[in-house]
Amino acid sequence: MSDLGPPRILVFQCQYSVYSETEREAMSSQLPPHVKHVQVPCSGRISPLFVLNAIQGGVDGVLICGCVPEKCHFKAGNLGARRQLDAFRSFLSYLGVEEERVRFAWTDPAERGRILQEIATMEEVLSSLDQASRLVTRVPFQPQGESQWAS
Amino acid sequence: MDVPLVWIISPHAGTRQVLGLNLSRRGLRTLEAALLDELQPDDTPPQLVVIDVEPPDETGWAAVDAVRQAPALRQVPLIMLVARAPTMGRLLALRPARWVSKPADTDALLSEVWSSLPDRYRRSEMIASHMTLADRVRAIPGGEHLYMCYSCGTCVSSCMIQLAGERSYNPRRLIQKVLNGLEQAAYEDRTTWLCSACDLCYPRCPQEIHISGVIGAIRELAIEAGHNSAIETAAVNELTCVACGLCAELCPYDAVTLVDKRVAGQARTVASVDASRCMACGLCAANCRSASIEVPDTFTNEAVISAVWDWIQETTPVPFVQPEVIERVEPVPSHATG
Repeated sequence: MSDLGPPRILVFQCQYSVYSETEREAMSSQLPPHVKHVQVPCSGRISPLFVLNAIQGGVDGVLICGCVPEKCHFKAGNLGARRQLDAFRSFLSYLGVEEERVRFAWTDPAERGRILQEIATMEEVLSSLDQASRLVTRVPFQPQGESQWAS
Repeated sequence: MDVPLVWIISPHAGTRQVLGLNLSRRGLRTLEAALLDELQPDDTPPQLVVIDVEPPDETGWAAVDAVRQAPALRQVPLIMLVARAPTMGRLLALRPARWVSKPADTDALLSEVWSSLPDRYRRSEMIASHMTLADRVRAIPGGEHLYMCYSCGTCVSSCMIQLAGERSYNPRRLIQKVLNGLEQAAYEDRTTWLCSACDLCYPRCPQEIHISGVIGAIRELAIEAGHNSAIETAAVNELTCVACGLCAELCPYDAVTLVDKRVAGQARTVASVDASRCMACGLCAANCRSASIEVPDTFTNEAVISAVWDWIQETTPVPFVQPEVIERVEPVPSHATG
């Protein structure tokens, strides 16, 4: 794996799951280039479509970071996320994508340093795996022109 | 705001005047007359009729019967001021009707008046009787403990919304605005619209105020006053919505409902978002199987996926090979080739 560089990790993070200022700073601007940080309003916003698209693009691992049950900023968004993404992960593993490639980190908003630790752990786990090849299509997503949402 | 009209019929000028004053001070429109006939020319029917029955000459019962026989007044609630309680049979025949025994106590009469009128008119009473904004907030379930706040600011320091980049968010200030009666400022404050009722502040408040309940009460008043949510809320693409109801089932705020409406000339069932309740968490968007509901602008499927793909392209060691585009060949008609 060393010739291909460090494993690429996509981090979806609920904007309310990290409390401390320094950690927010670290997440938004101090991550290495092989880690992509996407902030979403709530972990409930993370669609299985996002995870699938990342895996199709050849991302080695997807880390999903949300709040622990009963600490959700939107009452129950994290429960919805857990229900659907957990099922989606087992579906992916059925298709031959290793379970380690999708990882969940349900953090308490007050926990400090947890999310960076999770990224480090995930990097370690992924280094022992081969480069992701299952389901990789490498066809970039092309937005279909103007969006037609009724406002 | 529509103000209910009350007819007051009594042969005694003094009774009419006192009743009229008492009711108009509480935000009701009144028309007084000695006889029912004097009021007939008015073309708007009243929401309530108050009749002074059983004066010495007993013209009152005739007026009651006349009210019940007039087609426009048949369903209007009726309050009778009586010296003797009417018989049950008579009351049932005159439904909807209530009675207050004379000499009438003002509070007893008012409570009968308000229970005869639909609930929505109560608000006009509050405004007309010069209830302060704080009192109106406290009258809504959830807002009761408003006065307990001593402005320590613990709620502000425990709230996540400030950290998410909304520096103007401040429940402590909002409560102060309400206590000082700054109605417009309170309704326009982003705090009113951004609180998502996560209740992180509730266990920390030393005065045990349910702050999200208070903010919810303020929001209710703001909606009544015609203000709209200050945040970008979810939007439905009605052309592709299949009304599966998943979003309505999942929404933590019950903001999504299925409604029947005409879409592009067809009668269909589609999801509809109540903008005053939606907090734009995106749970509906993540679960919609036809990608028909989304929070516009920042966190659309398109925006998130293109951001991820841009990064993938940047960091891929081997550059992407664009898939070969096969040009469409026009079919050649057979007779042209001979």
